[in-house]
Amino acid sequence: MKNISVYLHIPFCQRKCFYCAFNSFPWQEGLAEEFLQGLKNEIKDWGKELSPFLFQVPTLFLGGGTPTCLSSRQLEEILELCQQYLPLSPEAEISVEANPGTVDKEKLLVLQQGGVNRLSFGVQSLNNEFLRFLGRIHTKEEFLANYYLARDLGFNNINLDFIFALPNQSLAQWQATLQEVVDLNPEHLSTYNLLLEEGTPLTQSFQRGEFSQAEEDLDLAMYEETISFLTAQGFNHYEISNFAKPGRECRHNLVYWRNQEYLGLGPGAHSFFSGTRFFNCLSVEEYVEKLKLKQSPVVEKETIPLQLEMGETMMQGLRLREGISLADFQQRFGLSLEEVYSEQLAKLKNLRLIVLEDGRISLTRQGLYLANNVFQEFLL
Amino acid sequence: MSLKGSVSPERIRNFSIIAHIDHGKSTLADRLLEQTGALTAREMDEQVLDNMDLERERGITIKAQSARLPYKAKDGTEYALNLIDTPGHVDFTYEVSRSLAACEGALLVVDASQGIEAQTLANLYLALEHNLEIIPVINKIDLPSAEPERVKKELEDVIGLDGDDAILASAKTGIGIEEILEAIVQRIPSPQGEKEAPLRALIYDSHFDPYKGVIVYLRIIDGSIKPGMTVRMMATEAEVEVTEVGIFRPTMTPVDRLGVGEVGYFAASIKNVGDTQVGDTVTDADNPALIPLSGYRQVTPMVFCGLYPIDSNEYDALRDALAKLKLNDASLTYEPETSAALGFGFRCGFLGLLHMDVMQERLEREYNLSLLATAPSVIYRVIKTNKEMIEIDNPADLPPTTEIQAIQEPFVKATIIVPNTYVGTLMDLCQDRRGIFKNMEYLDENRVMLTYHLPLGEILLDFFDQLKSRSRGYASFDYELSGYEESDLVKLDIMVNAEAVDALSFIVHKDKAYSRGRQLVEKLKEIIPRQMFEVPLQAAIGNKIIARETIKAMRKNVLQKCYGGDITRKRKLLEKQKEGKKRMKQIGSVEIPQEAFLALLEIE
Repeated sequence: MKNISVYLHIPFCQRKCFYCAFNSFPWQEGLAEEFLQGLKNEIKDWGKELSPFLFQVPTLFLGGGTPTCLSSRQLEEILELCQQYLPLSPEAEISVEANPGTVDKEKLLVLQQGGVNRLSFGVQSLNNEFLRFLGRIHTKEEFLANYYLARDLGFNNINLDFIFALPNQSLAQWQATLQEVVDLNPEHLSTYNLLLEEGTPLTQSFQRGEFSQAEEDLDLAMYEETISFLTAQGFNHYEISNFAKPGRECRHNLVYWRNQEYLGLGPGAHSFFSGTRFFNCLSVEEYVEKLKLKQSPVVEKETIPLQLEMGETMMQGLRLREGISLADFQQRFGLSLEEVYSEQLAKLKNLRLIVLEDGRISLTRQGLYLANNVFQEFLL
Repeated sequence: MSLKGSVSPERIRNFSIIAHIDHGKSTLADRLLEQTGALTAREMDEQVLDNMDLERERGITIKAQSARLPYKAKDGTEYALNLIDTPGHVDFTYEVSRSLAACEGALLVVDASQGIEAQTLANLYLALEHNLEIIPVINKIDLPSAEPERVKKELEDVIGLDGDDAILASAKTGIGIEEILEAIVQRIPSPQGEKEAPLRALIYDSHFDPYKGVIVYLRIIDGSIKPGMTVRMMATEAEVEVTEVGIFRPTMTPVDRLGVGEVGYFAASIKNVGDTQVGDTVTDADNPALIPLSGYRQVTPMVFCGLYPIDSNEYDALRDALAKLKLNDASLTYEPETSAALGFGFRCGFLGLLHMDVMQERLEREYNLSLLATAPSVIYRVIKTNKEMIEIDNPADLPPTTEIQAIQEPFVKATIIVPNTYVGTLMDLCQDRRGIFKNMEYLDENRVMLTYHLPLGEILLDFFDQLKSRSRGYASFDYELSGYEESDLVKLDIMVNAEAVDALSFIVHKDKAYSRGRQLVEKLKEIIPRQMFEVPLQAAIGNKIIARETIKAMRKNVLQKCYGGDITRKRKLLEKQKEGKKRMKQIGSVEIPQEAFLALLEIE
């Protein structure tokens, strides 16, 4: 039995946030309905490939965009179709990303009934001024109301996303946010520093000199604080940016970090299947059109040679604090990690960026902060 | 006109075109070719005579080119007008002088809006040294900003030419072209020479042809040359058998022989361009002339730099490329050099900064090499305490101070022409570059000619760009070498992470050492990216540290965002970061970008 995780991309948002560079478009009623038909077809098509005798789907993730900007009925249809066509394992993790401004009781119930057992709220900040700056459509109060609502309905595995190192944000402000967050007692937290991506409105505003970025030292101090505070509060810092209560690690994301296989459905979604990476067309219209014509929406394929797969395994696996098991590597590639990367390991050990112990290789604290420098060593 | 036999001297006119850069020399040459039917307009790729891509892009002529223009004058006679296009830059003064020596006259092209510039004068003086008949041409008169009357007056006041002799022209629109052709016939004397005397011909250029070997460009002074003859180069003493002679129409066209006054080429399966040096005299080996033509000298490079392949695997490719360029350019010199910091490379010598620039660009472009160049240096003469004199072109080769009695450096006579508003700032610049003021002369009420005695080494460092920016592009500049003089010079070493980087060492005047050292480490701090550890930068004279900066360690470089399943995007981001590093040179454990090695050029 082969594990294959599935990601569904919902390419709509009520409004695009200022910092966002993901593939999403403002909500359009008619187009969304057409997209839904396309996605259904894509689910069915893949369903036919994934014989329940050969495959099982351990995790399903609805991301975006904003999955919750779809109507209750639309969400219901998607989830039903997944249950019907995909060989979901009985204990599958089914996650949905939710914008706190787009959920209500009805939607949450539909999700719950559809088998969703993990919610991921994109909160980003508990400060309404920062939320406006980022172009979020919700307020702190709306988030809190919907968070408690979800809790009341029985969701017991909730992630919250936050952004730090915002312009003029002080370390004390961030500490206060972390305390407030921990008081909500979520099972999982993802924290990222603000990243200015090319072409976004926020980047353009930055280029016009309208705000300045946090200094590196402050950014680092916030990151250090996040790690020490959350760890002390009983969270397991299991990936560069992710923290979980014991046993609540995101199983879907672990698939990416362990460089295992997954399918991405929907416009612009990426897949890694049978040693090949491929992705769908970005445009919703094109996606709809192709599926109507019974054509594949895949626009680019890249066969990953062994050497690159090893590099990607390193790049992804070292993101995990537990790192990579030498035995797993040996089993997967038939080669010893220490031999393949003897030169790189020597250099990185010397710089005290990685450590090899108990049959695993992982980043040191210093290596965590300079992880890009480490990852680069394993790429061509 | 027969192609076979030679043309009699009375019906030959040999001329070149001299001008300041951008005054329209090449466009005029094109128009003359077109008008005389040497090439039809259709055959003409714009500016035929500048046939290297680089020449066309930069709007300058690097190698001399030639063309024979058949012209039927108003008197009804057919003439052969030989145009010898001269290199238009101060680096190539010697080549220009040899090209001019092959002529009896010159068109002095002056831009009708710009007037006389430094190179106009420099070239004019060269032409006058060779007693050439000067035909002034005031070009670009079609432009709204043209002031032909002012330029005429300048010609009279500054040069002493009769302004009324000037031809008003526009090479672009064709105005005055007929008049220029007539003036060439009427005013320029026909070549004089002894038809029966032993062959004497002046080499004014050469190029390497992969099939025929070296093609030697020459002007026959006495006698004649034809295939089958054995000829001797009087200076290099090389003897070869002529396999082909021909003329430029402007493509090479074989003829039976070349006689007195003619301009053309010969080929003789010569493999080494060094055997056919510009300025040398070609004579008949069986019936040699006794006295060579005057004016020959061996061309020696004035500016040196180290060229290193970024990728050390390209060392052999670089060596081969240099050898190929050398086939066409005897003035280029190179020899292997090893730098502790940069590895294996070549010390290369050039005629000047432009020559260096052009060669580097050709190596990168035509041979697809990624090169790292060190800051340019002049040749210093070091008189050691044991009275021995050595010449060094690499600061790293300077002997220990205890063994040095004195150091001499080359000086130049620099001529700058500039509107008087900018005189002050340019005098400051020259002063700052250790220049000694020699003369100031008003060319007219607005324009001033400054003469300075300047160390060549100071001109290598961004002088030209400074000159242009301080004068908003109005200053023109020319220089000639005036000899060696003793200066109080010291070697400044740069240490990166406590390791001396030989390729960053330079020789500087003692009074400037402190400020240059400080500026350089400041500049390096900007250029060298942060590393994973703190990197001290120091400037030192001997054991004395005179400046220090610290590059702070990089503290956080981690992509926190996950990008879900789009692993390719993340990988590409990292690969891009890594690619940037590959273009850097690893020195010790520090990665240094190429620009660092030229930082010296960017400080004032």
